[in-house]
Amino acid sequence: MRGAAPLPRAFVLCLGFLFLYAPIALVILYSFNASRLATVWGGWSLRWYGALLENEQLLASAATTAEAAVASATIATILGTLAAIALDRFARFRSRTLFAGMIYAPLVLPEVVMGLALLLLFVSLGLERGFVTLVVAHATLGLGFVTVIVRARLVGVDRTLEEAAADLGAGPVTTFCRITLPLIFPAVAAGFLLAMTLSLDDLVLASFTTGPGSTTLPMRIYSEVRLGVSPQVNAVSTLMIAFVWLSLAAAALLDRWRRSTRVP
Amino acid sequence: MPLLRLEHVTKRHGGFTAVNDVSLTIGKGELFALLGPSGCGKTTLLRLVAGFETPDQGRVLIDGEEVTEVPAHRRPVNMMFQSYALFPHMSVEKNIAFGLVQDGLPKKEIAARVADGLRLVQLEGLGARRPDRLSGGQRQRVALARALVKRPKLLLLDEPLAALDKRLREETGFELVHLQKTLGTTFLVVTHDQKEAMAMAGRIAVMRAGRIEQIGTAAEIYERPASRHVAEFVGEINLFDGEVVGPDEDRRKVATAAGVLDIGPRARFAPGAAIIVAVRPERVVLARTASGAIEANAFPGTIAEKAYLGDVTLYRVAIAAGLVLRAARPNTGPGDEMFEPGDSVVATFAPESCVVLRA
Amino acid sequence: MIARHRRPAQAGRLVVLGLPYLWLLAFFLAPFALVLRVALSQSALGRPPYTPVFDTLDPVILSQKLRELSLDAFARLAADSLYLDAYLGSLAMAAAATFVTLVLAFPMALAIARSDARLRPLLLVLVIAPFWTSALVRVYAFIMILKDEGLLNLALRGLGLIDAPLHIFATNTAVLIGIVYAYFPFMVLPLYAALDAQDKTLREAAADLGAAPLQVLARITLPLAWPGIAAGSLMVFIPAVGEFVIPDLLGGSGTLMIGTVLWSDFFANRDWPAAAAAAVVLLALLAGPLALYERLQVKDGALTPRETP
Repeated sequence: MRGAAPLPRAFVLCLGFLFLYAPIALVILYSFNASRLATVWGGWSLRWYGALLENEQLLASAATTAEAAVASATIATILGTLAAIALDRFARFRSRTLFAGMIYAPLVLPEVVMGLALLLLFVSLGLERGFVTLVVAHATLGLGFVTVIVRARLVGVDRTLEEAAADLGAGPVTTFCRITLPLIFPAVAAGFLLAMTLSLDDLVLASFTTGPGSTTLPMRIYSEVRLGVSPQVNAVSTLMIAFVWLSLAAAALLDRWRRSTRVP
Repeated sequence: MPLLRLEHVTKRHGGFTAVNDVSLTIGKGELFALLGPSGCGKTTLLRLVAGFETPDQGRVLIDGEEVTEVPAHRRPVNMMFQSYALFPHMSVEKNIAFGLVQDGLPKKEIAARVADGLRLVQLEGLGARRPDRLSGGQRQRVALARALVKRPKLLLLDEPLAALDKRLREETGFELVHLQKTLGTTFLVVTHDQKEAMAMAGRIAVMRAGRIEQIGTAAEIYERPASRHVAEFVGEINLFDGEVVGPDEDRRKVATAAGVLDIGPRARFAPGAAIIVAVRPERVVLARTASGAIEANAFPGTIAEKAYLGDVTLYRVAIAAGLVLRAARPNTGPGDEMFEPGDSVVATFAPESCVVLRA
Repeated sequence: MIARHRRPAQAGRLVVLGLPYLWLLAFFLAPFALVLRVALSQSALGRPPYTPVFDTLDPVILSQKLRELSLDAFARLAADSLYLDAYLGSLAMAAAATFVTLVLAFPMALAIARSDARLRPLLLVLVIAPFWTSALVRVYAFIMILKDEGLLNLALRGLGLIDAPLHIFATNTAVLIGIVYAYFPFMVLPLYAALDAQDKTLREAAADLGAAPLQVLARITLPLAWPGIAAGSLMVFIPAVGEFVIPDLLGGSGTLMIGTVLWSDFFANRDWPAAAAAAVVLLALLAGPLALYERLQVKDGALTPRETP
């Protein structure tokens, strides 16, 4: 007996996915629009992609964004994974609530508040805002997301596996490297990717924490969008979508390949 | 010289005392079982020996060396986990080799010992497989091989047969005993299954609420349980609470709710002592009418329930004062006399069949 | 498993816990302490545009400064009806958006949870994938759709359903649609997790006892999905209250939300104490929902809307 019959179920799913994907599909479609008017279809063209290549400001921003994404995701992944281990494997420690709170709060905290807070910190420390502060801000944002993903996986890792390794003579570091890390690796990789996407996407934190020399791509897009719909924004958005989805697909393929080439 | 010695070991988890002042000595080459219901502390005791936990009080000595504070990875003991804990991302060979790699042995020797290990548990040819592609019995043997190739002084087995299905369990039990005899390694087995313990172990420690209640061979524990709990936990038993009513020549009699029982000559129980008389169901004899031979301990009653189990038939006999007496009769052939519910019978047992426990 | 006597393990523990802890203390807790400090400062000209209050630990000066503590910024906040309206507007918008998201996401989550087990991972990935797409891009897409000369009006006009374009863009409705769209996956995933965890035999037992499918839904499925409903609603409500991009891009002159006010205080008016005070009040407003959310997180540990594809 099922709660919902198959037919309405398929209908609900179709409607839901239409809602989720139609806007994205439209952005992609109209990036190939030959017309200058964003919502009038004027035939297929790649002219806006061509225009992007000549927009040096935009290209520079894209480079900054990518560098900041990789750097902040690396920090977030290392710290987030350590935090997940601390939360899951250390029985009790003082101020655990504070620790957990600091990790989970950035997941939902309004970005304006976090941006403002970080900016005040950098100003009062006398740090010049720029690439470094941007990376610090994004790493702080990504940390909690990595922790959540890695911890979910860590919960599923049978602790007796670690005990078995210890029983067979492996110390804590060896046990982590040879048993725990390989088992949670997919989650660590996913956490890295998510932290990277968050950094690539972020407008608000970046606006607060970066300096004039390190304007990010979302900041450029935002200032363009404020002026209205533009075909060039469609093109750059499509490239961003393509980049993220292709790297996700690559990660998934890599994971599958890794699995299939292991000892049969 | 003892291989394992526990001296007054106590371990608390929060407010709960899992192991309470346990002292225990196990000799070299023994197959020793810790038996008890879940939550009795037997697994905690095993983990204290393995080094996953540190006792709050007391000492742990292995082969004469104190290891109380030594972490698990530096102890000369290995464990076969109840869940087997095979590393899912490694092949069978890599699993078995794990501990040897950890010891820094040369590659050649590792390969040779892994091959030996596989042969020992009859898994030749499966070395390249991943654990998730093995049957339950095969996994169990990989776990065993992985622990044994390290040549531990003491092998700990946590419920080694629990995850196997019933048919495999008995066979694997015998295999373990055989293996232990061949290798001469000391085995410490934890189990909640009394049959498993009795079938495998040379000596058994029955645990309850963090303490050891009795240590002995299977026969000692079954025939001469030291406490009410051991009597009840190991096999089925009829218990009568009563009071010794005094010497009748050199015999002792006990007043119970079911009537006066004759427990034969047992001078150490003085008149007035509160005791428990225990009788195993298979020592209870049922007959249509009282036979002349045994006059003591005869209880007229009615068959309340009958369960035919193939090798034996179990009866529950309603006797005086609303009490129920359990009796077991072996089935030897088609000519066996059977009783049916409602039949009037007389249940008797010999005074020497009684086990007397202090209340 | 605390290793009292094992020095190396102790050191390892210190590193594992200490690194993220120190990072968070420095870049999460300290900044919020600063927000409070700035909110209590007096506005000043120049850069940084505030006069710090606690820049010494000398008890004498400190107590003196404490008396000078300025509630100026908060007073201005209270006096200016703009802020009050913005807070109320944000709360109302977030509540409405949360409700609409819940109503739309529940059937979706249920449909996924009741789908074939082999299909479910794919469906979940499809729900999550939009989250991996830039939020800015997704909000931007709605400008294209909702504008007067946008695709929605084009389509409706093409179908002959309307004569004059619907004015949705630059209204609160557009903001609502934007928030619902952006946070939809955040609602579906906890709901799905709660629905998926439900024991099927409970519904069968209810049916066996005479409950019709809709009654089973109302009396069994829905009440048991409560943790998911709570988690999902908080994950939408809390960030929606402080949302900046969506009201800024999709809203109009009638849209008043605290995220945009705070932003313009900061970047346009350069009134840092006011912005900080506004942030403090916003945090105070969100304290209840945040505490609830933390508790759900800490208790369930793995409860997360952002699964990995």
